[in-house]
Amino acid sequence: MNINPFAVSSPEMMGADEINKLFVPLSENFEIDAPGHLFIHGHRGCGKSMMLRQMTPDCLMLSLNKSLSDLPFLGLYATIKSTDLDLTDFDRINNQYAGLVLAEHSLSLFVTSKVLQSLREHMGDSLNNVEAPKAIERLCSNLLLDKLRSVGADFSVSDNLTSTAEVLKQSIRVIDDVYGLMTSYLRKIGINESYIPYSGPLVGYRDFLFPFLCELTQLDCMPKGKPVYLLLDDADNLSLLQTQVLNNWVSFRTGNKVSFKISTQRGYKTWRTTTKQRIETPHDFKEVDISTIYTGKPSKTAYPKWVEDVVNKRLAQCAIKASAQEFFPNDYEQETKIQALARKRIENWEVEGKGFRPGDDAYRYARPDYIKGLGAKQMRTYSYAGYDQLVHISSGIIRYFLDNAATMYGDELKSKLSSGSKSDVGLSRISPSIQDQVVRDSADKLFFGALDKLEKDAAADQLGASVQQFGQLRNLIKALGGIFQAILLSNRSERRVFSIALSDSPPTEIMNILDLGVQHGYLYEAAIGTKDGRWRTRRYVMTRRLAPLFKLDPTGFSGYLFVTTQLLQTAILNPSRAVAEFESGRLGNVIENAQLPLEFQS
Amino acid sequence: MSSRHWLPLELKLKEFAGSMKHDFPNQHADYWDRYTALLSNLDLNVYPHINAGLSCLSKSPGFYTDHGARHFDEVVKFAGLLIEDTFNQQNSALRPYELYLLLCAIRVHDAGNIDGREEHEKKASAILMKYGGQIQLDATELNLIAVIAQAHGGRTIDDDKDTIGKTVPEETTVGGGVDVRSQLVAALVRFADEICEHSARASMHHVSEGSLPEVNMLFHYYAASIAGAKPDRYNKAYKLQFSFDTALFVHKYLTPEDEAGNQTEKYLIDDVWDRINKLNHERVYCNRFLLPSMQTDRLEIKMTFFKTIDVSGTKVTTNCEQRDLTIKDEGYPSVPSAWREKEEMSELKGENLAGKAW
Repeated sequence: MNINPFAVSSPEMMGADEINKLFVPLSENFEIDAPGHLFIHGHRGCGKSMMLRQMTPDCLMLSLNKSLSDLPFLGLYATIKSTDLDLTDFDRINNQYAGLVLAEHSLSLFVTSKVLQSLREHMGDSLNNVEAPKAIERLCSNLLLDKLRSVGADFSVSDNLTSTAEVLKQSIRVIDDVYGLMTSYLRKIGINESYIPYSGPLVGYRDFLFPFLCELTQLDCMPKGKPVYLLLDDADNLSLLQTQVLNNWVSFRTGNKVSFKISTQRGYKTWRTTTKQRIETPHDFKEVDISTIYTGKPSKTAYPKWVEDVVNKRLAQCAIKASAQEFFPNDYEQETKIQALARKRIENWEVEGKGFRPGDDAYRYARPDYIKGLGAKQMRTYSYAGYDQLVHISSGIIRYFLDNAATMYGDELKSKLSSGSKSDVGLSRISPSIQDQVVRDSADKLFFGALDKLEKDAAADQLGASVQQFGQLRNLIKALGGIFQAILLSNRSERRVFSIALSDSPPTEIMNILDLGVQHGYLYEAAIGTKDGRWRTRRYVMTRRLAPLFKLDPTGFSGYLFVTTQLLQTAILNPSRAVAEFESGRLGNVIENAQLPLEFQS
Repeated sequence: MSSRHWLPLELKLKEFAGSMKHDFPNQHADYWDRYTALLSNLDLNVYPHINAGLSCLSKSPGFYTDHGARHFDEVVKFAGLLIEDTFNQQNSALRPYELYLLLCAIRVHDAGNIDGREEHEKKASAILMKYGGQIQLDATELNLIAVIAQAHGGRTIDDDKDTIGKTVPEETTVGGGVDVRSQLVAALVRFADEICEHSARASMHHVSEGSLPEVNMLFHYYAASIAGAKPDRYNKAYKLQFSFDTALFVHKYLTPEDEAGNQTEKYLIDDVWDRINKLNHERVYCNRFLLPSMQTDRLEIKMTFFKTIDVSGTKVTTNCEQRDLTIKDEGYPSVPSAWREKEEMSELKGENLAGKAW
């Protein structure tokens, strides 16, 4: 059977062996393995889950070649899915304090259940011995089950459990049953107007989960005396109230005992606690934005290098003897022509050069010159094939690269089979035409299919962003793509523009649209100095995944478009007009800045 | 319960529970009944056994000062002294349900001592779960009372003494749309408990007989030396009157073991200043959460030093010296300035705003 080397599984479904084979550490060291609370922000697919999953004991034991008790920390993984928690039921509580207490209760039980699940699944064989089940049973009994009984929970347990898995399963069952009592209550108050007090058991982080975690690493079978890291994946899926509760937990500086490593997809709902305090970095926690690790100044080569390591590792796993560059070849004819244009620029540099070095000019203008030279009708023939272009198009999100690569692999295989090859044929390269077609389809899907789905979801979800806002985001992206294309085809000195900077302070409505774009991966946010150098302003980079849609050069940029509120307002209402007004010179101002980080510059 | 001597604050609750039912979360419930049922359970099952529990079940067993039923009455009384007459002033007093929470929280705040001194403050919830009566049927009310009671001492899980600020919601709305200033209530419990220390809590019999265990002497001698203690709300002062037997100044006394197992020796007067210092800390801390009408701005301390001499076979007590001391908020205050370094403030600097296009 032919295994697709680029197939992506959810890290929570992957075994330690597979994780260990495929995981490539990030180049940036942001001390994720040091004690202390940490938020890891990043778009879906940038590798957050893999990073957290890799910190669980089964993976660490393999990668560090150590036993469980010798690990530097005990990582317990819990992914939070929106369907895991009955969020809508909380909206029915008009008793604010009850809501707060029940949110604490539900999150404590939920995370404890996940912690026990992680103990079941992520310890390898380390707890399959005679002593561990007894020790863990004692701990679960003393700190979890007895506590639940003391607050009124009524349940029966079996004494004849011999394995750790059974012991943990029993506690998970009890905890899930207690959780069920609360959800039953929430449903009951939904249909009744009168005062119905909750009379079930109540627990909280401080008296239930925290003591359990502290004692867990006092067991001989565990990393004794070492901190526990709670690896909470996708915390955006918590409700507002539960997010405030989690912030309460983060506000306790318990890093030497329990640290939270929390991933978000940039949709974390609040930084306030239930007591209205704001948790702050770096006092309460550290944070890192993985999306910007690869868009900042030091990232010129870090992301391409990381992707190359990931790809080479995956190719090697499937016994494919080709490097990433060889497996994804570029369009030879096209690249030859572009290189000829670059050589011509270098030769002409002394006479008419505009950049600082001959290489600057060649790099900046050869590819845009080529695209421009194709003419409006032939621009569609520009090929986005080639490993370097594919890396740029993935815009710092490894999942985008892998998903496209997986589709390309499938298409290439299909093509081979239809041409009569055997079913176990080994691929040694993906043809440029298939690469090009896949990234073009992908760009279409992102702009049409994905946005359509977001609009549809918004129509069903009363609380989130509105359908109208997604419509405005679509207009904004369309306008920016159109303007960037106009710049590329112009005779301006700097034609590779992919980002905008704000030259004033747009109203909240517009900022919300920009935030929505960032949240859903259409834009990336960064800061930049203002034109006069006195102030820093926001900069938004459009995802290069859309480059094929707008026929743009994806391989970098060195200019940015300073935009006013007026241009943004026009753009979100009437994108064609915004492009026309920009072309007639009425709106927008392109700034060339030699100091600007050249993202993804190869 | 009918023979019980109700304290002024309790009578106030009785009045509110009858006449202001709409100010409680469940207007059909009788909150006076609910309070008295709790008290009845505690009177019967808990209070009589706290001192024995403290003596035998604490990590450092010994002869503790009184933590029995009278202590809880005293804290109710002292809380009453802190807020007396404020009920006549608009917006300066506790609301009916807050008063109910205050009384319930006071009644359970030290009840956990029945199982030993260690982390007794964290056991309010367990006590209510067992002896709360009607409160047991409303888990969120039980939780709120416990959270308020538990903030009277101890530390948070990250070893912070700011238990009120970090564990009690500032304001919250409970069932029936009733608003509760829970930090205010917690501060009243905490300060009333803190100031409720006087000679009645010492075993005067054992003090005079000199038969106390060595490690418990200091506590009893301190309490025995407090001749009078009273909040003076009209002068915003807390008044403490000490009557020191100079004979107790001669020796150092053992202190209980700390968490690391260390034990030291201390003179009584040095221990007194340490306690006064803590009392003043608590006063300043609790003021942060109290209404202006309930705050104190000073400690007024009067000290009398006496000695006992033998005059022809008769023991006669004679005053040697008298001193007064006032510890009050004065001078230009030192306040935290870390707010200025916070992230949300970082952009709001003059130089930055001057260059910003709005």
